[in-house]
Amino acid sequence: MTGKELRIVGRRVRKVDGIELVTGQAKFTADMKLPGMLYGFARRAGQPAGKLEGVKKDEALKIPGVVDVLTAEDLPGPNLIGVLPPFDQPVLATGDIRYAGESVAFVVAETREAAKRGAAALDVRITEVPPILTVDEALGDGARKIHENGNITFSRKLIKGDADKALAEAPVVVENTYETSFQDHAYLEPETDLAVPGGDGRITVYASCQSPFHLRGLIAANLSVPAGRVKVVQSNTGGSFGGKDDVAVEIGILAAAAALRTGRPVLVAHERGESMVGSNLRHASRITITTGATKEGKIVARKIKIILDGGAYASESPFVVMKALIHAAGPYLIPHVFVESTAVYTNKTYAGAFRGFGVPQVTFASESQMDELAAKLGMNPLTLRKINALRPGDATATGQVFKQSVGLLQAIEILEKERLPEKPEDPSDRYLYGTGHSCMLQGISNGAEGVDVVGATVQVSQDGSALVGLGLTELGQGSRTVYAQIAAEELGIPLETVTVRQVDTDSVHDSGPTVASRSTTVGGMAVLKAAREVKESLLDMAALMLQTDKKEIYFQDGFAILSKNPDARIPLREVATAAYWTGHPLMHLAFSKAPEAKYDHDTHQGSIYIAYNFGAHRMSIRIDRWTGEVRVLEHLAAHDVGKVINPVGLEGQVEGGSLIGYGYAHMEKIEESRGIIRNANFADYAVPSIKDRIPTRTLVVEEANPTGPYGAKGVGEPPVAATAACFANAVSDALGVRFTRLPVTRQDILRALQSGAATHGGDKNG
Amino acid sequence: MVTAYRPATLQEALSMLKETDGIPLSGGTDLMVRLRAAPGTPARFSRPLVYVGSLPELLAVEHSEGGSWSIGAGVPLSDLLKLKGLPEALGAAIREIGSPAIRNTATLGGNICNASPAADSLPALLCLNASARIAGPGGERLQSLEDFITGPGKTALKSGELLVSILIPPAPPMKLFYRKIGTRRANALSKLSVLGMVKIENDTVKDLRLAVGAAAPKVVRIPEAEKSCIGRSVSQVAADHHTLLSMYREKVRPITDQRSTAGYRERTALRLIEEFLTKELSP
Repeated sequence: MTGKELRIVGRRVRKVDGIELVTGQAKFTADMKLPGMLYGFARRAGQPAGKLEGVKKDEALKIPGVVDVLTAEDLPGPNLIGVLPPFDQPVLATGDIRYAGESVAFVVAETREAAKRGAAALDVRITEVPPILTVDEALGDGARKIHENGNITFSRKLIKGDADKALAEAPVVVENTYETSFQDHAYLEPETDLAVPGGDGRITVYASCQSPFHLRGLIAANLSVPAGRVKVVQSNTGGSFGGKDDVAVEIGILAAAAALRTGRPVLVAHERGESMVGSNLRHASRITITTGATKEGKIVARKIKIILDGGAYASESPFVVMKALIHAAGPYLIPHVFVESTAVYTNKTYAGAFRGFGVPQVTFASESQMDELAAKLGMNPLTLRKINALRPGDATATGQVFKQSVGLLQAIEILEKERLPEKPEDPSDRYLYGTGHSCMLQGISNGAEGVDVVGATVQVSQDGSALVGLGLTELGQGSRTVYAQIAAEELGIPLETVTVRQVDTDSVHDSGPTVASRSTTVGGMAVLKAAREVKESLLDMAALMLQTDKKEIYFQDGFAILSKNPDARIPLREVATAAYWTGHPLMHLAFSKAPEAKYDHDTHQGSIYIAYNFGAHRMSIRIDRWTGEVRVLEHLAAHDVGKVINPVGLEGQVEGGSLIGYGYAHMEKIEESRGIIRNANFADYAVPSIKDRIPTRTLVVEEANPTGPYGAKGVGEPPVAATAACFANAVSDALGVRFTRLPVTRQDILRALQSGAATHGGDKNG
Repeated sequence: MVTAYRPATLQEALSMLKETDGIPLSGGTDLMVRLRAAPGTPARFSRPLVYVGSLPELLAVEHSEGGSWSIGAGVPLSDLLKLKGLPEALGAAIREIGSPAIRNTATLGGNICNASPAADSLPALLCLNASARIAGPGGERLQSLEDFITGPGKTALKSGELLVSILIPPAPPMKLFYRKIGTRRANALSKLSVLGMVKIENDTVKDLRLAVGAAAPKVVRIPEAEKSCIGRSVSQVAADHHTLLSMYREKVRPITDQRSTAGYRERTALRLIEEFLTKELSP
């Protein structure tokens, strides 16, 4: 785009904020200790359904150290958490108790222990109501309504062509139903917010959060003050993956309300158990797919029904419903598609945003069925995918056509070129080997889910260094590094001289939430535009100084250089200083606005996303028939990312996302009985450890995306779905039996071997 | 409120334990978690706590020239791993307990007295024929660990008694077989573990010990089964492993809980025992 070789973009660079993090110097919210600081702790309902009859504070207030107790009536505003319609979630329960983790009162005290004791001492009266714990119960005739509007949170249809007719005529048809479990984000740092009253009528909230402007808006609304009175500062955030949104809002409101009442700083730092019980999970799902194809393997139609268990509150369910709807048919050219996607309320911990956002569920289902279809056709599973893969110019399930940046075929071809790992000699017959594939697509940025604008500032100081600010947050994904690279590239200054500031809502433009793999694509574009504006101003100055036309000048390594004679150069710090003294602007706010989604709301036909990331994965595994243990021998993850900005960051995203997908597919399962989560701790909830890391190899396809900086498109979410799906296919391949439910644990594997369901390596020998 | 005492001497600790019916506390890695009523709530103690982690008797480690060990019940696990010549089986088991941070504070005595069927040190200590040195109002007594653990969460400690140290008699060098199956590959509680030790000379089994953890209310060790292998050739044992397995099948009585299913545990335990008896014995 610049017409010259990129010098910093595309280079392997270390995370700009990495050293502080790995050496423990980085401070997190809970590291802050302020004079007079109080500790807040919520009393939770403890039962999944009921009527809250009342909360008596007296006994709690008698506990030494307890300063204040808040119930719903003590919140000045609307008592609301949700960021989306139907706005159905209270901060503190008022009448209905809808899940066991629901906060009913908030105790603040001089110490954390006192706050906990106060919470335990509260007299909370709840009349039990039989909980609704499955989607079938919720959808059953005459089921009790969990919310006024019934038990369907949100439902949408996608209609392309006539799927019923095409299926009736299809020579080959496969049908199956697939299920997935809830998953916890399991970030290292549980949710933490600290509210500090300013003494100037304002309040500052330091938050481990994903979308600071959600906090600002909802904290202000619930305090009944103008938004400008609230300043939210995003602290270093130890992971989020979609999780630190609703719950960060909840504890931010509670901390801020208590801080205003007491005039003292209030810290809320969740423990692991609170984090798992009281913040959103990934939706559990049940997905039925029917696929029709020709004998040659050309898919003619897919009919898909998706039911998502959204738990007690809507949270992001409406958008997850849409994302699942749009992605369920997979990255294939299919003339006839019908999808119905529905989220349902149950009396369980609510489900919401989680890396992948509905795509991991449908990709597992869709890609499992691709293997089933391949088996029925007697065809190589990868060949089947290749035949049907979307190519440039093809219409997606929503009828959207991308003329470029559709690199699925290239990703598949990379896999085809890679030889399968050698199968070692195994005279003991103890091990089973299998290989699984998956293909997927993931819409980049908000698309149909709302406006898609990022405002970024680039400010050059007199010393020639740059400060970048934008409203998207660094959550460990490496976005600061990407922004720094882009600013350094555009301004021709060393990477080390660029600083990407912490997000605080006073100082940056509301850029929407940091979600949907959009930071590099939309955020990066805004930084690029702002940097170019500042550069124009500096070029004007340099032209005056070098007494030439600015077209004759380029910036590199911190110098303004004359193209004709590179020895003629002025340090950029001198250019910047001169610009300051002569009034050439050194700062610019630029907006990047993605093209708007245009589609029919009844059929979801139209343009939905600005781009898709396409991926093809392959995983080879070894299963120990005796213990069910799975060893991943090789995992290839090929993604079309448009353009790699930082190869190290890309690999980090792909490896991290893959491990989340692997945990999802094999290890992690929320164990719940009678509406109570029984394994709300890391001893019993098996999130992978560093030793469970799988040997993921990142393979890159670069089909330039015209809507991203340098052609880039996001990659944060896609590896999760692709990994989970190819794991399930690999296990199914090894055992010769189809697993239709995630996770596939080692217990499930052993059970399949024992019951004789497995056609390979079964228990014929005892 | 929690009442806690910090005795300076063993005598003081014993009288406090007796007077207050207190709970001995050292690293607290099991106790604090076990007594937490619900996520986020403080631990609830029905009885006072007596902190025994700084008593000299509980921190002493002795290694005799003859090869026996006396290990203070309050020594952090990570300190044990630094000891030269620590029995290999015990080292292997400890390395798989928790994370480095947990091992820095958790103690061997705590792992034993918590008496979880999944306690990772127990299969090793039982195979090493370890015993417990117990101090109480009436003086000291010794009890084999086999008898010391009486059931899930239960020990033979009487009111006012304290586990002071663990005695491990000298053991000949033996080949170790250890398989721990956890929820993940590190920092995991055991779904199941199998620990075997064997001494083979001239293809003949001279000594064999085998323990199964997390597969029954107590660690499973069957002396008759072990004895029946001694004096036989490796190939005889392997050929006859079905008889041995049926003995273990009788005793392996796992439960289903949040970490695994009874079926998985039983089946996998027997498979791993089979692996030990058939594959690991051969040099």
